[in-house]
Amino acid sequence: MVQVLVCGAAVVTLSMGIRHGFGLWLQPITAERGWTRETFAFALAVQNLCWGLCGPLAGMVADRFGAFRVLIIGSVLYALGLAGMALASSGTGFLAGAGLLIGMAQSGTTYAVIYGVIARNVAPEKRSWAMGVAAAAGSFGQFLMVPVENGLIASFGWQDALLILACSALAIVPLAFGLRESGGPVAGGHQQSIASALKEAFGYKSFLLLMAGYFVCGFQLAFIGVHMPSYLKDHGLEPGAATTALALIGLFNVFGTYGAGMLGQKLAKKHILALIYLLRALSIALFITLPLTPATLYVFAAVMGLLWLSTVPPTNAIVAQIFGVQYMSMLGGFVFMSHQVGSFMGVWLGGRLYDSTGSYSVVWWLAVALGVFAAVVNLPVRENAIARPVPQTAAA
Amino acid sequence: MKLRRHATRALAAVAAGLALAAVFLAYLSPHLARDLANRIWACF
Repeated sequence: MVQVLVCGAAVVTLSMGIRHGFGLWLQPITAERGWTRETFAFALAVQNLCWGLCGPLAGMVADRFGAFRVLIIGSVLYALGLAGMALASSGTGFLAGAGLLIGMAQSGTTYAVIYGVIARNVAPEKRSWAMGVAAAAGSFGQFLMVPVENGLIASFGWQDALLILACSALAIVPLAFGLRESGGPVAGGHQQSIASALKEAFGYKSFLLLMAGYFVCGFQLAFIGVHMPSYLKDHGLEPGAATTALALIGLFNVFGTYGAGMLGQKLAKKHILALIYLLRALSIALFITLPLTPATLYVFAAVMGLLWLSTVPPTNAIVAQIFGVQYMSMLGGFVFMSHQVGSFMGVWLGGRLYDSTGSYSVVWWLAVALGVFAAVVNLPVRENAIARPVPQTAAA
Repeated sequence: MKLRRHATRALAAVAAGLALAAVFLAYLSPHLARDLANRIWACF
């Protein structure tokens, strides 16, 4: 268990961390290549969608043939994508590297695939905690890599910084050896085909409710992550305030994800999720209602940090609890796909409604309403293992 | 045995706390904070 946890945590630290600071390359790349910001932004939007859309497929392959192969392919694609980002001289080449290759790489090296291995190798009574550890590692990666990447750009220039990251992404290869599984059917578990597992999950109300909740998670985080600096600038806050807020979100995110995993061992996970979404709605409502000062911003950043990725361990632990671990990565991939569609909507609607109304108010209140909606839809989720027909065995 | 397990956990918690504090301080160092803020701000 320790080996799986250490290697899994290290993989998500790298895979979640590397991508987190991509915004830092916007200025140098667009300036040197003479591209519009849209070229850069479109590639990152495609990356997020590709990550979500390829997730179920990567999960399916990981469940069927073991996470090891998926991680190796993911690591190589990650390195190629980063090298493509560094060397692409056309917008199309940049889209292929930063958008498609890195998007596919992320689907094979992040939570859905790692959680499948964890779920299959950690006892159910420790599973939520273990998922919390892996999520906290991913959160730490995000927290760590922003200053690291900023330093790399300052020291080596944007292009070499990307090539250094490409080499770092290859470190996933040796770590994948610690996550080797035999693949094939799970010993002692209920055996299903992929089609039957999909039919079962999409015909089960609780799975759809989890997907709906995760959509909201993606919407809120992507909207805040992308549009927050612009919102702060509109309200006359100093640039340093945004950096401190970013640091606070990163710091508290580590505690939040670990804490949610720990709490999942003791409390009903659907209640944890409902509370997280409700607190998000409340925090956002207070943040946009109270006067915006550095102090209110820092409190908001700390609270949102605690709630940032804390939905990840309970959501995935419920999936494992309901459907078992045989297709954990694939089903986790589908739930995450809903998250990414929400992310896309959060970023896009944020910009669209800002352009049409001249402020972010409508989107902020939409994020509040969606938070309440997500809290409500998580309450009726049934966490118990799904009832399956017992196979008839021939009498001896 | 139990004492050793507790000690290992405490050591891991201290190491994690130190790592988090170090990264947080990195964000607050004046040079990095200014550089990072300028990069974030320049996007909007």
